[in-house]
Amino acid sequence: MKKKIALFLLLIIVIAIAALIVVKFAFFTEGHKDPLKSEDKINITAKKLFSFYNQYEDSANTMYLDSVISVSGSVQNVELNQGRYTVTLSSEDSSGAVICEMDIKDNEKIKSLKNGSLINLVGYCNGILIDVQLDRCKLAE
Amino acid sequence: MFNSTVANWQNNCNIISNKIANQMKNKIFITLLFVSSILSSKAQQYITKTGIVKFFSHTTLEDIKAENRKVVSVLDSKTGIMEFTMLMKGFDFPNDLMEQHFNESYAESSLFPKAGFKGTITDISKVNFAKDGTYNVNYTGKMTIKNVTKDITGTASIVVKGNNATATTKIKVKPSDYNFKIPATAVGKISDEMDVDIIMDYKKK
Repeated sequence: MKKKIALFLLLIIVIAIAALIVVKFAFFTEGHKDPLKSEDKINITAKKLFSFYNQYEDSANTMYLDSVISVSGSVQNVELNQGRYTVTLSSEDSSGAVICEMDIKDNEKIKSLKNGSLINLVGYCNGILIDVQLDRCKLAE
Repeated sequence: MFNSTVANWQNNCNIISNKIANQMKNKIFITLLFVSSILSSKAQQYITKTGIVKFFSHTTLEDIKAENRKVVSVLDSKTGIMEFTMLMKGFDFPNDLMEQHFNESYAESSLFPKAGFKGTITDISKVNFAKDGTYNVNYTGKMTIKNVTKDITGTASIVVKGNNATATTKIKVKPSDYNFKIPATAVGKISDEMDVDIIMDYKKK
């Protein structure tokens, strides 16, 4: 009988440890959600996104901050900074643009981008400094 | 009834006008930063739109690090005046849950979306921007996070290479100084003092 109780307790402990490991891996060591897989993407052009942010920062933050944005526009600049690419999409306005910090997994694809080409990037909106800033961006196929 | 409606309406108007005023102030500050940098004698301005601010918190229970590249900065190579502004939502953590806790519970990034530094490199004359090399300098200024402003002094190194100048410095920041409220469940996991690395990869304008 005692053996049975001991075995039962041991089983519970093993299950509890297994559950903890699953929870730890599921919630704490998970990286970031892939923006391409998001079902709530907001589609907008770089021109419209910048123009809205430039005029109504608070309203734009309410609508776009932390949201997954699929932004389309023409490549103005591609820059490699400390191992990570940033792609600037033109807003057709000299006062600012949309700067997308790329996911390093896309480095190979970004290398070959040419200024002036029309592309679609999907990432998370961080707000505006001089330019609208997006991070963890990926190139949409 | 009518009076209270009017009072509410006036209150709403005040809130909206304050918001617009704050928004305008932010915009004017950043625009002035860049316009002045472009207008006033071009050769002495160094600019970056992709500065880096990293922090590292070490405790026996947990190490936490995050990196922010949503940083714009201007350095005046004649006067030594240096300023930067960053988006608090720009901190990139190893996973979404940490990022969510930081933005929602500690930094309250939606309420305080920007943070920054304004200061002066006091011995900027030591740096010869025309000659490649590494120069060690001292700076002093004010750091503002969550609308709390504190004095900061420290040393930085400036590496000049052609038209580029990379300024780096390390500082210590106490979250409690800037009104970061650490919930009881996280006490022991977040250090009382964070190591902060600031790296500005400037280009001459």
